[in-house]
Amino acid sequence: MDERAQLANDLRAALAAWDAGDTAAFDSRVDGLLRAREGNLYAHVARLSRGLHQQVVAMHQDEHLARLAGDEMPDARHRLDYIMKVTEQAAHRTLDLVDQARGITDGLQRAAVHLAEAETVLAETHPDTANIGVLMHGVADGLRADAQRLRSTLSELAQAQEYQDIAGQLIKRVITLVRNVETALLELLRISGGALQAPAPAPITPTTVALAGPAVAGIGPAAASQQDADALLAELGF
Amino acid sequence: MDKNMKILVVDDFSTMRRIVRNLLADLGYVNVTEADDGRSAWPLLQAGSFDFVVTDWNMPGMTGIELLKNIRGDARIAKTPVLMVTAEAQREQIIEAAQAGVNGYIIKPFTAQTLKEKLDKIFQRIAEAA
Repeated sequence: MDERAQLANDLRAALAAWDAGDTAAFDSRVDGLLRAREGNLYAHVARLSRGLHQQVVAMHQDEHLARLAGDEMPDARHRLDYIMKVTEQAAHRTLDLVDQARGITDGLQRAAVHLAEAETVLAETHPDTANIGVLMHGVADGLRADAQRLRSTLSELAQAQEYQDIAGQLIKRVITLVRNVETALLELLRISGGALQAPAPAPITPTTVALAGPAVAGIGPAAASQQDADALLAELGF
Repeated sequence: MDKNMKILVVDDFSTMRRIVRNLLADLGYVNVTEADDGRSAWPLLQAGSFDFVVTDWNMPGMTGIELLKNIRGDARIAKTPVLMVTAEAQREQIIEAAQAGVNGYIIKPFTAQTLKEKLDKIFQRIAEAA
């Protein structure tokens, strides 16, 4: 029997008791009606609390999102800006060094010209050996200097690639953030989709990157420079 | 200093390992082995008699600070000098490394000159202590 029919039955029975002058039966019928009413109220309150609970869970999600959107996104943007800057600087430094190395090849060309001149002199019937000696000496000096310059240019070129390490570390952090945002959004979708679904455990474990990582100006606590580090270690007796 | 000493370079970025290896070669140190984190460095350290360790801090598997602590905790290799080359630049971290017994601390990005200075200083101190 549904709720309405039950209610109609109870009302009719109460009315019949009233008409019959059976006060005791009437009171008992009315009590029953009131109890049923209270039961409904409890069911309603329970429904409300369940709804509230879900709201709270959803709000908790929003807090995570707010943290991601408010702090971590701008933080990631700064890191990406920084990556742009260091990669650009490294590219320019590399190109400068390549130009420098190209300049050194001019010296190598000159050495080759001098060697050819020496060869010509040697081919003469009475070669001026003193002149050849001077030429050779000049060539040797020039080559030695060029070799040294080229070597140091190459070292600097290799070192200019170190940005990759720093940029790589920062990109790893940004990837972690993107993954967290993705998880939070998926969870939010799931919650809003299944209204009566049991609340899932909070999907975001707070990002615990224990280490501060590469220092980026304007983000995080002030970082030490090499000079600061040296001074600190000296203080500690190093 | 013995230019033929065995050096272990530990860093998870292969570019950084190459850079450190190149810089060491410029300074005349050519006997260099590489490992990509503390965990892969550890068996090498156990097996081979390395004279010097250059390590990054932030690495997967085993970090540089853990590697340093493990080295100091193993009587057979405890005296191996360790140079930390890292992007970690917080005061607390430098202190932690010092307390763990690091011999030198270089903050990335660094120059060839800094590496040379720190190496010279470390070996000078070892010579003085000997």
